[in-house]
Amino acid sequence: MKRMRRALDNGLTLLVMERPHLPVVSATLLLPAGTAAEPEEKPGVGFFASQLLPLGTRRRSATTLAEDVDGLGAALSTSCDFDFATVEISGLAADARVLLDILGEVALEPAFLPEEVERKRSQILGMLERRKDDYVDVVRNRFIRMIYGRHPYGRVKEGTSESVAAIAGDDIVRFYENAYGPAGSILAIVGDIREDDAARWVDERFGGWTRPGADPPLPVTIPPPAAGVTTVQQEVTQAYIRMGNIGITRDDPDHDAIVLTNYILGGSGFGSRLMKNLREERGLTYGVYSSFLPRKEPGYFFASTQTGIDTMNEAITEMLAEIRRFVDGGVTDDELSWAKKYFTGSMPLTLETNDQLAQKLLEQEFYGLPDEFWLRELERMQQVTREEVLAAARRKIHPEQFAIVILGDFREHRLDVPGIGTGDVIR
Amino acid sequence: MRERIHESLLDNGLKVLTVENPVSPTASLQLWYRVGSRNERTGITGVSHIFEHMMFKGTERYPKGTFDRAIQENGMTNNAFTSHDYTAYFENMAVDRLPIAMELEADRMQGLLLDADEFASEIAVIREERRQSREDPPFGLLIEAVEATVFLVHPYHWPVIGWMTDLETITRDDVAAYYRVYYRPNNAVLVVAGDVTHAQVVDLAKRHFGGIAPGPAVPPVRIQEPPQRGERTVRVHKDVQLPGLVIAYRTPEGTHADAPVLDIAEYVLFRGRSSRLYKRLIYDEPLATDLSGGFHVRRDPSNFIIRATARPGVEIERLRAAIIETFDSVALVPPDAKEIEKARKQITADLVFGQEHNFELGEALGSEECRSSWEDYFRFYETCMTVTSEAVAEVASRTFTERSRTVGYLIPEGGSR
Repeated sequence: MKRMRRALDNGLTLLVMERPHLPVVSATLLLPAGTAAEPEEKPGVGFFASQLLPLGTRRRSATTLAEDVDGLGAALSTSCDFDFATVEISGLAADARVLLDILGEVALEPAFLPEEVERKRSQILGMLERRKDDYVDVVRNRFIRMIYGRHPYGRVKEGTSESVAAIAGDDIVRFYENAYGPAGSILAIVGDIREDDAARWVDERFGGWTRPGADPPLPVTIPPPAAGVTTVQQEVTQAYIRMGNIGITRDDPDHDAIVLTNYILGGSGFGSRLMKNLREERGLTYGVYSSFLPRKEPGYFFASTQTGIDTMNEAITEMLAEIRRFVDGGVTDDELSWAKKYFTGSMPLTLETNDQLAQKLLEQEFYGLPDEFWLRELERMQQVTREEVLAAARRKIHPEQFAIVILGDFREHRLDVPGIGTGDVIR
Repeated sequence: MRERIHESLLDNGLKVLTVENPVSPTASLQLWYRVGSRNERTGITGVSHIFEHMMFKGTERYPKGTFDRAIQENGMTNNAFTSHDYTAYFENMAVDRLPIAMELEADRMQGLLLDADEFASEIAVIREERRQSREDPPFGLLIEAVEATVFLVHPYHWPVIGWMTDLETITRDDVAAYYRVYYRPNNAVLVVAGDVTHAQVVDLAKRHFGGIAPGPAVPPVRIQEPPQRGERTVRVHKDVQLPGLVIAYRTPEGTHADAPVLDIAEYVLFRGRSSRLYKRLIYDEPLATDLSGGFHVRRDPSNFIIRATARPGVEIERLRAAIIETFDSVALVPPDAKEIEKARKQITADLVFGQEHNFELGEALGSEECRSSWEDYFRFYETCMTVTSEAVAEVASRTFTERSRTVGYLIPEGGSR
């Protein structure tokens, strides 16, 4: 596959991969404008700004823009994650130039009209209300607040009802002017497009882009471990459980060992230790998983499940016991060997679509990983030993320091797990 | 792309469908059984879905655990899904692993152990799945209530996962009897999409499935839903923050001439920020925080459904009126040339993007084949390219009527928060 990387004078990095097998193209612009770039007193402003981008530019109203995008059979979306924001468009290759123009217009020339700000505010407030009924989400939000405290990774990306109500139009414009700029941004284009066409069109549309604002704030430091239990009372049929601790950065030298570690512990679905114990042997749950979320700054490790409230204590006890066993005893040669085989065999499945390839290119550039890191990581993974897995697990998983959050109906059931206390009850 | 799709029938009745799609060195193998909740009866509702679990619990040749291990060692991703009309099992893989997936699927078509202890443990897991997917989420029980109201006698009356009371009483013997009737080569379709040739796939299929004996023809489902004579209403009270609505209109079956036209109505109503429902309910007025829905294409007469949550402070009756007016508008203000052109472009793009991923491609063709024929995948596209605005309006005027409507209300009650 033909690939190109080029840095524009204004700091924008352009990545192009030619894949002419299907007449479609996708372009994703990644900007260092995520939740972590928000001023501390304006939680949710990053998400708010990203959601307003498709709602009108200096050239087109929200309605005209929607008509034009839909009329091309294209898809335009924006997102805000902790480390970055994205603007993404995909459509038919014959429209490639128009698609890139729309992407540029949406990212570089948003109008932020007051009526659109109010319309979007009402929608975000409604969504925040609705999400109070998504109990997995409620537990996740409590959990990240416990482990990250005031650090931006502890925020709800969408903000809170109070913070969103208080965000003024000027706050959004200021955030946009400070955070949305070419320096540190990456544009990845994958599909049926010629490299030189892509480069020329991007030069024309993005070459004159500058950032008018000031630098975003420096993030606060991540606090020390916040071991403890939080319980949330809710009339539901299940208990929603999440436990874990601060994890790794994406460029952590242990990354490859950690990927194998997590796969065996709780990342491989039916074959994982957690699933074998809680689902296969005990029938306690439909699913139990663990995961490391690596980020620019240390992300986190967690294990989570849902079970009937009457089996809550057994499920928590078994999860903790299984994780402790893992950290004490490590993995067998057999487990390590099939985990390695899994990653070797499944590699082609992770490189199938234009979107998957665009994600890989962006990940490489954003986190400063070596070229074609996915191949190199696979090679390195084959060298990882049992001892290295055990050492990585001990360095990065600390059951004795876990933050634990449980949401459930505690009116007739009591949390009773030796060694973790009864928690601070929130109603 | 049609010229890259081939079908064959093995002597034992297994249909083999290949999509030669050499875009990447991967393949998706999918074994579709023409059995779903449609084939069930009261007392054993949810039994089709139970197989989605028990099929991973071991056979004589591959005892428990060895299936999962083979999948993982070969870097495959796999799972299963159950619907009203079908149950499907799939493996996505690097294409050189195809023979292994063939062997695993052929083995569990006939040799399933259905061990009693495994059944007891797994049925507990399924009850947890039901709590997680139906009973706790805000709309789970309302959607069940609406479908049970739309379909009074047809098996679409009950949810695919089954009623909780049936999941408490169903036995291992019920499941074993079901296996003998429906898990047969003559009731299955083998779909392979990927970097393969049809000759290669048929050769492998003969080797692995050729020796499996066919069973008697499966019992037909004869139940027909009687006509609806007026709007039906159902209410569910739940500890939720915001009121919501599910509105369903009865529709014909997937093979009916109206079906592809209703697919196009779905694009006009739901697809993109400029679609009629999105524009009115999320943008212009705005009354809803979110909405979703569309035409549920099925083997027997089905429904066209929308689900929406009211914005804080919005009266639920106002949201209901706006949704119904928007559905009515398709007949009253037929889609203009721009809307039709837009739907065509969106459908064309969807068709091309659908080829990027072997799993999606196989899924699209396999589900059509289980409803009627994989050719319907293209019938929809061809209808769309020739349909007139008048035809869309005419089908809408017959479908989106007060008589064929069921309205479900999600009503918040005092919570503990």
